[in-house]
Amino acid sequence: MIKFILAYDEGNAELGYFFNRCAIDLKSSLTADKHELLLEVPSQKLNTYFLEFCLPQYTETKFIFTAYSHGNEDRLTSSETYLSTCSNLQPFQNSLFYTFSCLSGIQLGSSLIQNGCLAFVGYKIEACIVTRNEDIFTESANFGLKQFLSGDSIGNSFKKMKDKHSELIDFTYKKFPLVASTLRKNRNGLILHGNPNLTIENLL
Amino acid sequence: MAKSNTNIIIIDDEPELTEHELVFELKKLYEKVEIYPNPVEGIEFIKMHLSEKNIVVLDYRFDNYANGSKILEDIRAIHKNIPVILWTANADKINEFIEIINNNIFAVLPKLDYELVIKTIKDIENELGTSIEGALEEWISIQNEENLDSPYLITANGKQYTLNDLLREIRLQTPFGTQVQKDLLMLTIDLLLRNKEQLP
Repeated sequence: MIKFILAYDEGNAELGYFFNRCAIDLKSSLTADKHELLLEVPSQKLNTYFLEFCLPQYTETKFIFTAYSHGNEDRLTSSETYLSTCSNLQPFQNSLFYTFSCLSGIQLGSSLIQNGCLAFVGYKIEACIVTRNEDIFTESANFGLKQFLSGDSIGNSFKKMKDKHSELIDFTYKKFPLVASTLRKNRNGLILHGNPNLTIENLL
Repeated sequence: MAKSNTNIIIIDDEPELTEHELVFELKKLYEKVEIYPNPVEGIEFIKMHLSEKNIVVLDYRFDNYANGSKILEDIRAIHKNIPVILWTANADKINEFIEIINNNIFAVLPKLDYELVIKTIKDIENELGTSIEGALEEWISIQNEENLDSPYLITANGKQYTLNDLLREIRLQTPFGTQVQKDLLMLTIDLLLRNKEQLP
């Protein structure tokens, strides 16, 4: 059974509904596969204080940290910065970090790996979504993680996540060119740091 | 033959222009041929119709207004790429038009040759039809009108753009607008490279 910590900024004015949707989609997979949701961190608790207080409790625990929120090169943000390269990143030792947030693959991802995190999947660009097509963007955002949970290595899952983006591009480009161009941009902005051979077995 | 829905905007203060053969011929081909002796009103029309296809025919000399170069500058402030033809009685005096040529003018044509003006307008229309901006305009024009001003593209950093915002960003060639154009071009290349589409 894999342990999860799930952070999502559902209260965000612009994208809260999408972050919430991703979280719900992921939670339904966890329930179906009987994985354990160790900690759920919605907007109200998504702050430095809460994470600094809670996360050290799990320093010895292997888990998957999933974050759906805004971000920047070196940080993840809700109404405030809740995690950055300056935070205590020790609790992420031996974990997989998986996020739908802008740009955090540039610095935060590398810092996490330097601090012992096993692998990081995120974006090195400003990831985007197109409204009224949230199903497609939820599917593409969560696909790599679901693939990993099905037993693939994170390297293979990452590759299949890109393939899923391509499949969705092919499905949408004739009717919705901006959806397809956004998916292409997201696909090419995906970044994997850390050990590509990491599998679910390493996190048990 | 059905008339084209591209707006032809003529900014020229010549009093007899409405009787000019150019206007007469253009009205046979285009649904909307707008004549503005007052450049300010012409610019206002462009501003109000940014989401439509427009081609401007601009005179150079005006009796009561600044010259065509200044008017073009004002047009470029609201739309970086709108095709503009300068038509002038002095097309041979190239030194006068250096500034205007350097401000993304499509053609400088002599007033006497109205057939050449019509041919050039048709060339521009063909070019618009194959540009990213033109393709996007065409796609947006078939979308539900009530969706044009509601958020469409949202970045994970919280910036929101409606379809009309996207058109505006492209027309003003803002960094985001040029990025959207580039993304659409990259999509095309991606589809070609993966053999999902083929060149004609």
